[in-house]
Amino acid sequence: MPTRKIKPHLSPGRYFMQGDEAVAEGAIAAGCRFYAGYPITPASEVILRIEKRLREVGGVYFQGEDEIASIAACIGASWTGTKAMTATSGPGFDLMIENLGYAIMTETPLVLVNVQRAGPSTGQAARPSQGDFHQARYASHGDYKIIVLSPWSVQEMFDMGVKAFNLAEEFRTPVIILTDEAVGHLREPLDIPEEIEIFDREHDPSAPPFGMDPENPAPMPLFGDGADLLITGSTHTEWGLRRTRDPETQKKLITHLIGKIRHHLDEIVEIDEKYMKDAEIALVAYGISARSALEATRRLREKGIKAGFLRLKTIWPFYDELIRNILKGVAKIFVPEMNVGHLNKELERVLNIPVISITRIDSTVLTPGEIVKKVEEEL
Amino acid sequence: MEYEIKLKADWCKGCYICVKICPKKVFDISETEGKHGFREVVIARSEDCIGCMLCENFCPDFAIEVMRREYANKEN
Amino acid sequence: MKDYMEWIRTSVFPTNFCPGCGHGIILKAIAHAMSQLDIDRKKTVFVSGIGCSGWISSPYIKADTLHVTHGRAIAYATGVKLANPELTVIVIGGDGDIASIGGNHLIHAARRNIDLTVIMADNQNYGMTGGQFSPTTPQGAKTTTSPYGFQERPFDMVKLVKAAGAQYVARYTVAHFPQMVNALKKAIKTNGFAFLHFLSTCPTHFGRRNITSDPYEFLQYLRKNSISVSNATEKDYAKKIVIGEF
Repeated sequence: MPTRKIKPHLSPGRYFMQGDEAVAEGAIAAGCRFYAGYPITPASEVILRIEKRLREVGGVYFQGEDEIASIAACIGASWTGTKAMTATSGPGFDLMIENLGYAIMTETPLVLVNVQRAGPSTGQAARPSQGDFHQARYASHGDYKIIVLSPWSVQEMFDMGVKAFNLAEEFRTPVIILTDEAVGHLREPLDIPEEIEIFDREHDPSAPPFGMDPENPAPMPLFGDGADLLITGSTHTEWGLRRTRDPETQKKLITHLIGKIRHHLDEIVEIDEKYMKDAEIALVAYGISARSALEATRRLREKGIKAGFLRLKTIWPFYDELIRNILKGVAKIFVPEMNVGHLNKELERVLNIPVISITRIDSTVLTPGEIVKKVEEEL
Repeated sequence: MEYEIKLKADWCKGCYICVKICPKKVFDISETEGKHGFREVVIARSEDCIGCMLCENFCPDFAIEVMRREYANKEN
Repeated sequence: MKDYMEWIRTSVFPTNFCPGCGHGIILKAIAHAMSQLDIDRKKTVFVSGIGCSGWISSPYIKADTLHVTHGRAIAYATGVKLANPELTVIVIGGDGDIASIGGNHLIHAARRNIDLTVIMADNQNYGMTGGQFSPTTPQGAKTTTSPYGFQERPFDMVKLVKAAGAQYVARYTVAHFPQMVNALKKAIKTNGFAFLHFLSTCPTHFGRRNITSDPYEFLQYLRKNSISVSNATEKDYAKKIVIGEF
């Protein structure tokens, strides 16, 4: 896998930035040169920052007439070899779902930032929520696997901005950065490093446009290679010929779409663990809730409770085996989230121990205090 | 004799645009059904062809090519 | 094989089009035009959507083809063109793909005057799904979802796209082969948004229910009911097909 080290466009050092701005900077650093989007609260700040940077680096900023046009333009751009991104929130993401499925089906690298807001529907534009946990995974119809990252800080908005592109290029898939209004609008210090590692897709003009290997992604030709590409959202052979009545082709295709991610979980999934060595209980969280959960874990430890902390930096694919291993020996887990209970359901599926959900559905960030209180009540 | 007409029977769908559009009635509809179950087009009077290209231009299936004989020979 | 056949993917022939479908004639006109313009086939991308017209380029044209979701071809094409302006990008769609679900993308692309050529293969119904009405179905026409006559009024696509800001707009029918080829050449050479409204024939559905199921007779009908824009009066716009450059 050909990675290379490059200097980011910003000189190394400490900056003070908003989450939305940081993800834009991360994208530019990773080589994103095409952005298409439609303004939407609380993601509009991504547009403002990236439009400015794209002008500086000679990229393209396209403000689509709607979110549908925006994601479509990104996918078209990606097939010319250009790294492309869009950012949106719930109502906009809903519109993008059909073409998200197209990007999945055509194995098009793409980064999609979803800054969650309170829903359903118009909801509360400038208030956070974590309600779209399952939607990010299962939004489009049909069977597939997708990668979803969950930053918890401005620093991670930058770092995962880079990582998302690397994963998208390597596995030829859309990657969703699922954040929320709290992290998106948060202002914090951000450290830009001397060098970052980036990955460019394996460009092979003579390769078939699609992969059929049950375990690995395939190299990718581009428009203008002279390859007479047949790119289609219909079920296809590796050369893009439509096979809309053949069960065998459908099976091979789905096996590939699932397998190319399922067989690389160790490369894709990142889970952060703290205080787990002697943990008897654990707090499992992601995104902004994880910040409160970490503080809650520290306070519980101070009170003598052997609490451990697990943070899903990658929320999809869900790495059942790894999570089971990390939580071996833990008797009970607590799952703080800002929704009616999403991650807890996945953990219930995977574990045999009690999973206790600590939720807030009032579009407000959970506090460490209330997490500690709930844990103490249960113990 | 000036024009040579090539007819790709495999691509013909029996829409008969060529049969009806030809000002010289070069084509006929076959008396019998072909292997695909319909009556295909046959070249009946190629010597009457005036090279107007209506058949080639309006065949939706690219089943007809009309060429000046000297070019046709060069190709062969 | 003639020069224009270089643009045709014969390996997947015969086509899936119905016998006598006008889309095959449009495909041929495109091949002629591209060949005559001497465009670099390796730097050309055809973007098409869902429906019978989507098949005109995917898979039948031998160049880079992008077959996308319904109605979104123009949006995808915009992304391709903006990301790599060296490519010649052409969109092909039908009355549903371009004017119904894709209507918004059409008018915005025209407004932006983005360097694309959009070919609308209009057979005045939704052929692939069984002949339902579309935004270009004439008022009173019989379709599978208007068995007693279409109640709504259709778009005048030329007026619509011109008002939206397109740089080159032309209308012809599949009975006007050399005119289609010339209009295609002009449209592709236009450095801006070019829109071609090509009336096509659907003998299987729209034709059978309203005009004729005979492909040749349908072509004759289009010829007889067309009038050049230079000769047309206001009354003609309601009853005839006004062809030409607008």
